[in-house]
Amino acid sequence: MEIMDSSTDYSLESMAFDNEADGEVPEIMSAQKIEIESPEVRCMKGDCDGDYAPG
Amino acid sequence: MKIIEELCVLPDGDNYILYAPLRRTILRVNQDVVALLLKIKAGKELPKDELTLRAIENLRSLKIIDSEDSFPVDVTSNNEYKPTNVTFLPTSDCNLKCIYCYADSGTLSKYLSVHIAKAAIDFVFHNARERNIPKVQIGFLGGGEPFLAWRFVKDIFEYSHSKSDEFDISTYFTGVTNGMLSREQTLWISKNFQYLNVSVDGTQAVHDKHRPTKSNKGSFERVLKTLTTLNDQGFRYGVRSTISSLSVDYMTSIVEFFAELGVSRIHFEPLFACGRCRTNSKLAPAPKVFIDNFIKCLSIAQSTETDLFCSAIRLDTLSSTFCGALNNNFYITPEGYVTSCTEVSLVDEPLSSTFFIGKYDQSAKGFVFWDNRRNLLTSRTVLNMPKCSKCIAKWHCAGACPVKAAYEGDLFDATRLANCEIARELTEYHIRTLASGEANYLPRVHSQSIVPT
Repeated sequence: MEIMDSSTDYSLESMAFDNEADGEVPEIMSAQKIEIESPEVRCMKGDCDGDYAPG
Repeated sequence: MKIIEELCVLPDGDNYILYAPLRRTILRVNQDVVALLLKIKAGKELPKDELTLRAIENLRSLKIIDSEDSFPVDVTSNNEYKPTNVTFLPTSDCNLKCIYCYADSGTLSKYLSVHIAKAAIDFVFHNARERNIPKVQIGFLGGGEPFLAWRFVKDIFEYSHSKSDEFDISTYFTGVTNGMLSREQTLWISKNFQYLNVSVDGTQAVHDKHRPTKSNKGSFERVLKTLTTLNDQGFRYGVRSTISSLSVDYMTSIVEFFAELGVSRIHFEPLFACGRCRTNSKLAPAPKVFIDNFIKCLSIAQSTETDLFCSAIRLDTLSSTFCGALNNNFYITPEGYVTSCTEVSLVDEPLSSTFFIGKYDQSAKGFVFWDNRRNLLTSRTVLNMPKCSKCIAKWHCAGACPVKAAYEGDLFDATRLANCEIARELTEYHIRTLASGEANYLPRVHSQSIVPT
């Protein structure tokens, strides 16, 4: 199976297969939830990082 | 049956990684799941065997299908401009002459008037009371070196405290400095501020090359004394390093150096050719080299328990906008203007017509704001940037730095920036490491398995 995608296009549509997948055994091998704390929430807890300093 | 819009797919050997940023979910699946999703998308008839039905049910429970995308808060927030934080750019003057300075600091010596700054303090305290916000953040930042305006900083500190008592709202003081501080200044800051960012570009050889004094001498030794004093006081600070083509090969040794010094937060950014180095783009590091070395730095940071940060790799951020320049930034320039970004600090700069959003009005003794300019900036969300629509870093990079994009000619297109490539590659790298169950390099991002393998 060849994949025709570009380096910037990560969409499902970019995964155009050159032939239909013949096996019909869909499997989700793992799933993970990303746990994050937003900067805004952290700042409200007193953990502000100061301003983003450019360069 | 409908698939969520915000779904990225990455080939991963014989398998695939599905990344749903707004669901904060990463899946590893085989190719038949991708084929199944494509069939669903195309509205084709689906197999009715037990395995397919179970996969569909799992995708539904993981909210990959038959679910609405849940946008970050800032997409739906109203556009009312009532900032509760203020950052002062007290002066354009500087005691260093960094080879890459975005502000070309030290060329002009303009200082912000205290009475304008006090009006800004009044404004944010009133807003905080109106919005029921318990804390006001007050920052001091470049243009130039803010702590050259030492009397100004102390006056504003005292005035803010009087307002804090009057409004019963607490304060949070931050600053960004080049580190050329006296011991007395450093001790005062460590006693009265909550956070400080110190610009240090690495070991002495690198730092002195990047950040000489006005008289072209090294600044490293004095900055090191500042860091040592901050360490002795147990003060919470971070260092901010600009990585150039001169230092990109030394990034790992820079992290080791800072870790050994006791620095707990390191912020790397690749140099962008603007300001003083606008005509010398050779100082910008090659993106690929920066990416490769940053990845090496992540493992060193992990082993030394150092928080290493770069704006190009921030899975902990979920936003439609890159930074506060597009939201509520309230920065007061040395000339009394309101800018939304510290990188545009003088009215003579070409980008001031975009990023200057107001001015202190002497007759009204308050600030006037230019809504047309603010409206343009607030409209610069990743939802209005077509070239970002299919990018894996879309909701983390959120369109990258607006000032740098504007420098390159289009506020709404950052894809010409080296930062674009860096953000894409590093975001993809981070997602792949999380999907593979490898160590989480960034301390603010953790993943939790939600389906047994």
